[in-house]
Amino acid sequence: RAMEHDRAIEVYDIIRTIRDPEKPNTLEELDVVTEGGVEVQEIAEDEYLVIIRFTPTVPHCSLATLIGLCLRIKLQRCLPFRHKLEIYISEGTHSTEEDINKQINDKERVAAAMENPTLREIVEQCVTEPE
Amino acid sequence: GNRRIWRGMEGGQREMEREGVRGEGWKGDRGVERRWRGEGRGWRRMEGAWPVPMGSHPTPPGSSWTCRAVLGDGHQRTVRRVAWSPCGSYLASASFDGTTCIWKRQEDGFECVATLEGHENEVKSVAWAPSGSLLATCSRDKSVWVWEVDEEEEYECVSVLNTHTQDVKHVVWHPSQELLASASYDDTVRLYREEEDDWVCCATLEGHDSTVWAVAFDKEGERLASVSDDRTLRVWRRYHPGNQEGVACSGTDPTWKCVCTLSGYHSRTIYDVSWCHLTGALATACGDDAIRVFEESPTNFPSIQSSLSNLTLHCSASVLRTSVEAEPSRRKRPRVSFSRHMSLMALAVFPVSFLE
Repeated sequence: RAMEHDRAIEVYDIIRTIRDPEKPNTLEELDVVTEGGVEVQEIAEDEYLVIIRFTPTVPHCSLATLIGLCLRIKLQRCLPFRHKLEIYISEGTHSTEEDINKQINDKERVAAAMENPTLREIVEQCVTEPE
Repeated sequence: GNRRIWRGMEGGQREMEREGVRGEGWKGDRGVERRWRGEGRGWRRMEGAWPVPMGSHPTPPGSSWTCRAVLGDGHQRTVRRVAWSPCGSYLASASFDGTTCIWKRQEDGFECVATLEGHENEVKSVAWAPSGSLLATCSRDKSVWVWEVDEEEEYECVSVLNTHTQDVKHVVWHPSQELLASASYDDTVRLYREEEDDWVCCATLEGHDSTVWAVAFDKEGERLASVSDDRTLRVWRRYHPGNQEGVACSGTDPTWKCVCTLSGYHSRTIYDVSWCHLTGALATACGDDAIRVFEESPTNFPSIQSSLSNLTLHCSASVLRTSVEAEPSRRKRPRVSFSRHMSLMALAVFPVSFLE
């Protein structure tokens, strides 16, 4: 239990500094992500299921998908422990949340999207820590 | 036998040998859970019932692989799928760049003899029909394309099928008939056949609750297995018009019914399924890092009428996590559900609750 909590803190520390694609603020500052929105379950020895629920600032489909993409990419790159990741829009915060959730959890769709240079550039800018 | 060299990953260089076994050997491994992991990065090796010797072994003669060709200029983006033609002379490659390349085997390598264009975005799958003169491709643009190749190696698109409402993930041909199956992000499987110079969708298999990632036909082509993001493996059976089980068919097209759903065995998305045409075994590829093999055995219950087909599936070899005892509430007991039509049974290695 304590391990799971520690892991959740690790996850949150990585995602809270991600910048919003539109606004000059971090996801934490905009309350897009919160500590409470991170759930960690141990699924095997040293392997965890990480579930993130985020609240997009505006009900605009493409921005929500973009935030989901940023979350996934940053964690993929920065999370040091073995994990499986699920990302969801907080229930009731978006009209097409099921559609968005399905897309951001489809690893083939995510991989293909990240091959798009424009999209990739935006994501890079959102996830890269300032020097 | 079938020998395989398993290499450790992530810094581990352990070579293990495993005697491929089938039939009795596989059944004997029923319920055995083991995990192969490389060294380093917190991985470890567990024991299991496979007769694997410790330490490394010399490579048996004739089983080393050399890279004969690198076809690096054909595509501008990820190559998602490759498929050999039935004759073995051609290789098709499907890419996220929207094209499908056809490569012909030459003496000194491969030459790209055709580039099939037309899809609006990523091509996800390509498959050759058993006849070798038909190809199918599918894409995120929601369409399935059927291509014909003639004796002059000319490729022509003979049909664009727009029946799926979302991204199409996989296309597969029937083993002996010119029948095509597709799996989609729209949670369905569709079947297509030729009708008067065009191709039509002749069946839609609904039942999965999320993206269907792959399908596979059995050897006779009377059954189809599908796997999904909904973490189930489903088996569908074809009923022809006038069938004795009394399944209704509309017109002359057979009806496909889901006769078995395996839930609770896979803890994450299932990405692929393969149906062995030799042994009848089903293998699945899952996002929980495990491969599972399911086998069918004849019924052991004489009370079941022999006129009804009995489908008994058990998980005969599975790599599952046991190192951490998951709380019962987190782990659903594996379930098998049956259509009301058929008297089916499933025997599972793990505790199974029988549903009505």
